[in-house]
Amino acid sequence: MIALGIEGTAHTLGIGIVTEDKVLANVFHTLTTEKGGIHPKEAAEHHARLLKPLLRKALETAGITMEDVDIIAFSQGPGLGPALRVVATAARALAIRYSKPIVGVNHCIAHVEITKMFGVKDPVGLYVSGGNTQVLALEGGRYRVFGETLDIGIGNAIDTFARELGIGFPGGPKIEKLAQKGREYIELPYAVKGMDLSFSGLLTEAVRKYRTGKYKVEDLAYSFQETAFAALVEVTERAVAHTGKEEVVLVGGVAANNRLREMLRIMTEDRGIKFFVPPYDLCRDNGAMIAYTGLRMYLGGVRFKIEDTVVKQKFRTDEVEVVWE
Amino acid sequence: MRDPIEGMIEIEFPDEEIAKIVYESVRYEHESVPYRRSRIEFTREGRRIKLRFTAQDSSALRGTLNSYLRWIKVAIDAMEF
Repeated sequence: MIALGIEGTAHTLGIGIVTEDKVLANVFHTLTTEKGGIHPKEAAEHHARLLKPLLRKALETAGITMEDVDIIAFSQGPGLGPALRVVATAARALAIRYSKPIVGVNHCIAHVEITKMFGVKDPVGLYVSGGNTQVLALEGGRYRVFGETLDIGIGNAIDTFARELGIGFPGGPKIEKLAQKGREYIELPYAVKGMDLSFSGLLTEAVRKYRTGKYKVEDLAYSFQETAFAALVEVTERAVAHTGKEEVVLVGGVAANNRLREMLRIMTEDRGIKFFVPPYDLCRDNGAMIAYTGLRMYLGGVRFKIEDTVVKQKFRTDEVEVVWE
Repeated sequence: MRDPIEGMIEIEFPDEEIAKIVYESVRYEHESVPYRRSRIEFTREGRRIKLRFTAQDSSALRGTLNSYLRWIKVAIDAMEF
């Protein structure tokens, strides 16, 4: 079967075309702004403008026509309302026009589900991006959130810190590069509350220390990463210990960070369990993960009526009953 | 309080089938949109889609109309493959 998926929860519009075991196309375009941040209406406008060229590009890359597509999947939430609405409208138009079934996909779940294309069976997922930071795993027929940020996403924290240092957006790769040159660890607030995380105190203190002019930016970047990532690894490890699962996957845009990968690799090796990071184009926001999850849902018996396709801005990960496993 | 701004936009499609697909694609957004300072009646008659609007101020009107026209454009774009 062939599924076409549309992702558009935030600043990326992505169109993916997949089969049960292969990505046929995965094209995207990201709205970028000089200083970062996204205005929801601008994201909606961006997605509306690029839908047609990206759809064309995806179909050409896959070498198929709409007639060959078996199901249409779309990111139903969570995300920015105006952006989600554009994607849902496009998905409905495709589904009605070409008489294809439609499936609404939870964006966070899709980030983890795509790892199953690579043989991952039942992982604990650490999903880290600009807006989201969650540790999630399947338990009792749903993806349960074992820990999540109580304030800002880790990607947002890194980008904001980078902006404060005046090194531009997106800040992740630049902070990582600076951090590699850091030598001295500067103490910063480490906040794990129960199983949840908090990055706003860390960000405020890192910015305050930077403004004193007493610290090297390389050391601050290094300390920022070490502190934030140690908290992420701690919560992930505790979820692994609690669930007894034997696989950890790292997904989301921040999965590009090599230091975070290294720390998770060390933790999983120590525990004798598997660790997997998908190729970056399937880690970041993308249409292939939506298509793939939609396909798995459909094959597992999930059916949507057109009236079930209303967007859910605050779509919780554990709202979805995972009947397709 | 000022008088509200009222008006209507009528979009004619080449045939009823296309108008119907656009209408059905946009309808669920229309039904779930939170109204505050503007109100839109969204209807279809044959191959015409009608947007009848009332707004308290022009910026509210512009915001709401932009959303509807964006959805309609996207639905049309999605049909051209």
